[in-house]
Formats: sequence, C-alpha cells, structure tokens
Amino acid sequence: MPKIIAFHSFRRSTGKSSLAANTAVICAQQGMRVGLVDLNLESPSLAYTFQLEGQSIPYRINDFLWQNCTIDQAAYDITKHLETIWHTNISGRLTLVPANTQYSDNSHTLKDAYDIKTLNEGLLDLSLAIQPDLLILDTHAGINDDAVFALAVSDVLLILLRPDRQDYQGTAVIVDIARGLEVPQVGLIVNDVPNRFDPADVQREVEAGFGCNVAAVIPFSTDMVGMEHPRVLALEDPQHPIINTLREMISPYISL
Amino acid sequence: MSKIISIHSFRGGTGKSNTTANLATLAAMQGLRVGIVDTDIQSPGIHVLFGLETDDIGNSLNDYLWGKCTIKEAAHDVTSRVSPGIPGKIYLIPSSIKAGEIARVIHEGYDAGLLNEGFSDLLEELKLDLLLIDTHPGINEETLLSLAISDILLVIMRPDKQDFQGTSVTVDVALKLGVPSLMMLVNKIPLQLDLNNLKQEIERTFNAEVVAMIPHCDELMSLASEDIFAVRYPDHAVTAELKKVIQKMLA
Ligand SMILES: Nc1ncnc2c1ncn2[C@@H]1O[C@H](COP(=O)(O)OP(=O)(O)O)[C@@H](O)[C@H]1O
Ligand SMILES: [Mg+2]
Repeated sequence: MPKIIAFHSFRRSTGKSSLAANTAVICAQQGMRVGLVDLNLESPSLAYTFQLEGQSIPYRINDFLWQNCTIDQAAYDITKHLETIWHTNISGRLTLVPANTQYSDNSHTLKDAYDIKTLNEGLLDLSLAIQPDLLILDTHAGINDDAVFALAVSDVLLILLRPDRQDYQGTAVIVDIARGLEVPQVGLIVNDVPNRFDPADVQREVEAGFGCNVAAVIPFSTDMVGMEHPRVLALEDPQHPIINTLREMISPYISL
Repeated sequence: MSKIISIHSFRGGTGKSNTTANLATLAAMQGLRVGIVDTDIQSPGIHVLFGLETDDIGNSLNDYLWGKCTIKEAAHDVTSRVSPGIPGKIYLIPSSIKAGEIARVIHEGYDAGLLNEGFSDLLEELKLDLLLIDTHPGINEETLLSLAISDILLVIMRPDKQDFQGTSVTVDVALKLGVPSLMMLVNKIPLQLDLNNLKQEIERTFNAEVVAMIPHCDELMSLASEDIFAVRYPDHAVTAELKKVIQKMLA
C-alpha cells in the first residue's frame, strides 16, 4: 500500500478540503503520483474545487460504495485538466476520486451506511490500479464511521482545528480516538489564526494542550476565497506563504 | 406567546452557535426566559460559549433521547455564567461531547418525535418565551422535523457560491414545510463587498427577508468562542445588528 495521509477535523469548515487539495497538488508538483479521495460524502467539494463540473464524470465514489462501478472507474487522472486550466506544468500525477455533489443524493448515501469493507477493498484496488506513491483522504468532519475508518487506515493523520474553544474540546476527542487506533503519525494544523495572534504562542499552547505535534500554523486569510470557485493557491500562486507553509509541513511526512 | 426558532445553515461553520448564543443573551437581557437546545449532535459546541466544560455537563440531550432523564433535567441554567444581573433566564440543553455517546446517537439515530415532544415540555415547564434550536447543518430527517414545528426559521449563510446553492435547497424545503416566518442572516461578509448590493441580491434570489448583514469581524473571531460577543462588546456594530434581529423575532 502507498502511504496514506488523512485530513480530518472535529468541526466542519475548518479548511480541511482546501488544504487536502492544495497538499495533493504540492506533492504532484514534486513529481509524486498522488491519489486524492473525497470521502466527505456529507459535503463533497473536491470536484468543484478543481473545476470539473463541465467534464464528464460518469462515476463517483458514491457509485463505487453502492457497487455500481469499480473504484478505478471512479478515478480520474486530472493532471492534464489542471495544467490546461491553470496554465502550469505538473511533473507528477494527480488522480481524483470525486464524491457526488448532487445534494439530493447525499441523504441516500448517508443514511444507508455502506459496508466499511467495501471502502477498504476500494483503497486497495485503487492502489493497484493507479500505483500511487501517496493517497490523500479528505474525510467527513466529526465523529462518524467514515471518519473513524479513514483514521484507522491512515499512516499520517492531520487534524485541522481553528483557535477556537469550541474546536479544542472536540479535537481532544479526535486525538484520543487516533491514539486508540494507533495511527502512526498525528499532526495538528491550526488554521484561520487571527493575525493579531503570535503563531509561535499558538503552536506552544496547542502542543501543550494536546500533547501532540503541531504540523503547521496558518494565519487567517481570504486569499483562498474566489468569486466562482475557491482558489487553488498551489496552482495559481505556488509561492504564496500559505503554500510554502504547507510544502514545509508535508515534507517530513512524505520523505522516505 | 412563546416561540420556537430554528437557527439553520446548509453548511457548517457559518456562525450558527455564536449567533444563537448572542440572540439568547440579548433576549435574556430584556427579561425574557430563553431555552437553547443544541441539536448539532455530531459536533456540539454551543455549551463552550457559556463556559461549560466537559465535566460541567451532567445530563445531556443524548440522555433525554435515550430515556435516561426528562428534558428539564438536561436543562442547565447558564444565566449567571453569561453575566451577573441579567433579568431573564437562559437554559441550555447541551449535546454530549463524549466520543462514545456521539457515535451511538449517529449510529442508532434518534426519535425525532421525542425531540419535538421535548421542545414542548421545555416551553411549558420552564415557562419559556423563546426556544432557540441550534441545528445540525444540512438537511436530514431530524432537521426537517425541527424546521416543521418552528415559528421562525433563521437561515445563516456566507456570501459564497456554495452557500448560495445549498441555501436555496434549505429555503425550498422551508417553503414546502410552510414555516410561518423565514429570516436570513448573512454572516462573515468579506469587508470589500458592497452590503447593499449583496442584500438586494440575496433577497431577490431567495425571496425572503434579510434581517442582518454581519461582516467578517476580527474581534468576534479572536474571542474564540470564549465569551458572548454581545456581553464583551455591547456597543459594537455587530451587537447592534443582532439586537435588530431579536426585535424582528419578537415582533
Ligand atoms: N462574523 C464573524 N466574523 C468572524 N468570525 C466569525 C464570525 N461569525 C462566526 N465566526 C467564527 O466562525 C467560527 C464558527 O462559528 P460557530 O458559531 O461555531 O458556527 P457553527 O455553529 O455554524 O458551526 C467560530 O470560530 C466563530 O468565532
Ligand atoms: Mg455550532
């Protein structure tokens, strides 16, 4: 199996999907073959982030989970597409397994809990089919079966939180679960840090509070906000400070 | 006349819990008796704004849903935690923050009918003027039921494309359910946007009244849910905007 990195958070809207998407791009830009799987069936966003709506996407992970297709039928090599839209070169490869963005279908998927075994086999088959160096999973926030599964199979778990008291309590619960599951490496990413806070203080405080490594502290910024689509800074502006931070953050986890 | 008000958004992180806690506080400052139920069972949080630590939570909404206590026994009087000398009352029915209990409720689901019964018990037994429901984002069966019994639905959205799309689903559902009064609150508005244009666009799109336009607020963000904004910043423009919302709700 390739190395599996999961992005998770206790609360929603912590920036999980956007950081997972940018990290996947950063790794592909470094020549890696990256698989990115949208496991956030409650509010999937990766196909949208990468501007795939106009493309033909006959199958998604939902179809695989409902056994309407094989996992490789739901996997799309989007490298060329990204190169075209963002006028850039990517030396590696990015394969996306999108989830369904049809709001009406979501309730169906969520209610009839699928078989966790199916997903496990799916990740294995996906690895055989696309031979990735790295699989990145974007999970469904909170404590739920899908997320616990993603945590259980991951080699590296990156837990997003905002410097907000509401996030702290829940994140402590997630860190406990990760310890129980013996996830080999766990890092916290503190996102949306108000600019008046000192990142070093935040890092110290969070590390002391959770007894857990802080992988990155990212200041609040509206630079990822776009009019139509969220802006993928790793493609648009690879030298942006946030992207440099992410690049630094991920390097120890992906080096052999 | 007591009122049930659901605070909903299609996506998470829009500001539901902060808004709910502030509206409850402003109403209690006017002498009203207010209840809050945290039905965001998957990622509860509003108790944090009232300074409740994990160990301060005795009975929770989960216990009520599992028949372990009455809903009144899960009500925590948090009035004095907000600020001394508030003439009204604030009762919070928190959701459990224990991993096992969260997982159990997600797994087994719960009887939404029981939840609705709990709401009417609360109104009656605590003699509430207002019952605010901090909902789970998105549309699911349980949410539908609490929307269906609400006198007012306050929909919170951020002005981005994904929220526009998702919110239109919520608004459609609310119209079908015949919610008597639908109000929209736009939160976290980027500072460079023109408020008037945006307001008109949203009212046109959803055919509903926008009751407040709240910009991204550094003070609120830096407060980090440690306190109630309206108490800490009584004269701030955001507090003034929230007061207008309470007036509209009470009208
Ligand atoms: N107007 C605003 N400006 C800046 N930050 C805000 C604003 N409203 C809410 N927040 C922040 O957004 C985060 C999510 O708010 P919360 O009330 O918990 O939302 P929800 O209950 O919808 O998940 C909190 O960290 C809060 O401090
Ligand atoms: Mg909330």
